[in-house]
Amino acid sequence: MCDFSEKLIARMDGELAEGESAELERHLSVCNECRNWFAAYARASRAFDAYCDATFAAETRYKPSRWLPAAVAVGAVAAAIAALLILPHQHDAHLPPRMSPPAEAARATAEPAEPTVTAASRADASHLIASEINRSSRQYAAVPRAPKVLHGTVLDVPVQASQERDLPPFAPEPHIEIAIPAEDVFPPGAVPPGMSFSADLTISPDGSPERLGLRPRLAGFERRTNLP
Amino acid sequence: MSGESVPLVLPLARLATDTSEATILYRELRKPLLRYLVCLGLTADEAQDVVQDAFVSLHRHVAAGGSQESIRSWLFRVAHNAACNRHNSYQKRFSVPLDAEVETSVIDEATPEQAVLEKERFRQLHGAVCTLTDSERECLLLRAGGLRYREIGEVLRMATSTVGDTVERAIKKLAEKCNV
Repeated sequence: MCDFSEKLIARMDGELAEGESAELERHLSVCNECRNWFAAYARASRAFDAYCDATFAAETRYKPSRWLPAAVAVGAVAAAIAALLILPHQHDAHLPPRMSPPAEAARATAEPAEPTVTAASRADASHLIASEINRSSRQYAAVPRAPKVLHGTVLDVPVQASQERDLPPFAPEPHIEIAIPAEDVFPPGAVPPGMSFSADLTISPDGSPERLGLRPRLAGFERRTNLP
Repeated sequence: MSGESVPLVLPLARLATDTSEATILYRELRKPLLRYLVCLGLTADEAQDVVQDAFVSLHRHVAAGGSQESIRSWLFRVAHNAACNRHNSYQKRFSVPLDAEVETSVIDEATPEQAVLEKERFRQLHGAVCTLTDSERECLLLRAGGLRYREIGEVLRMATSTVGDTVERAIKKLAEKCNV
């Protein structure tokens, strides 16, 4: 290894004086060994830079908090309890008696000229909170929906129109969805911002809950649309 | 010189009174400082805290009439000392096997074969970096942050010639061990 090899890295970093740098340049043009070492040092330098970048990128990448799964589990349980406590009570207090779809269909068949929901009952239905009744059949006509906000719960309330007389005899059970923002269940700061829980609750004709499904949501408070 | 391009002459004349000057300085040096601290072993949150404290200290330093020369090395020195005070984090990075997440972050190759080769090369490099002494590693990290040898010497309180020798030794070690 020649004498100039000690100056290769300083030259690469621009730390040599002008005279020394020019002299080294001339040497590099004739010394193959120094050129090879210079290239190897440059590669090592670039590899170290890439190593630093990768380390920095890995550390600054978003990492979910370790307690997030536990918070989700606790939140789901609390949401389930809240749904069970709130919904039947509100159903009893505000929901006018409703017939199950098969029964309605049977009635519609028996009395085809009479609408099943009158204007008065539509007014009653507008007082519904925390519930959304949907039917999956495409035969149902589109109905106007009025969003309601009460105690942090935002839900759409469909007003059943007179077209319900066209219900098929095999219509599915009403599907009720309730979404509870986590902020309403937990103290401030206990759960990550924007997290909420959604409870899908199927209620039998007598008003008691039949099926309950819970999901945590991270994308903020929004109404689920993929109803069965 | 590699890393972020940072101007050697920084606009410090009105730093103590004009927030725009401080903002420019912050934008220029924030990322190099963060990268240096993270590579020393601090977590991203710790590094953020240290950088913020360093800039608060800088504001006090300038407001109190402190020297405005070599502000870049001054900031790196404050950050370096804060990192050294967090012994656990500082020692962590180079005393344990390579974090799988770090390995994954470098894999961006088109084929699985290339990905495997790149991963192996990176693991080899990590092994070589672990064999460096603390001063060699710190010199290389500061050099990757865009500091000149004189500034590195000011941060680590070493002579400029010693910095040159240390950098040369470290680069040669890496080149030999990684066979690049």
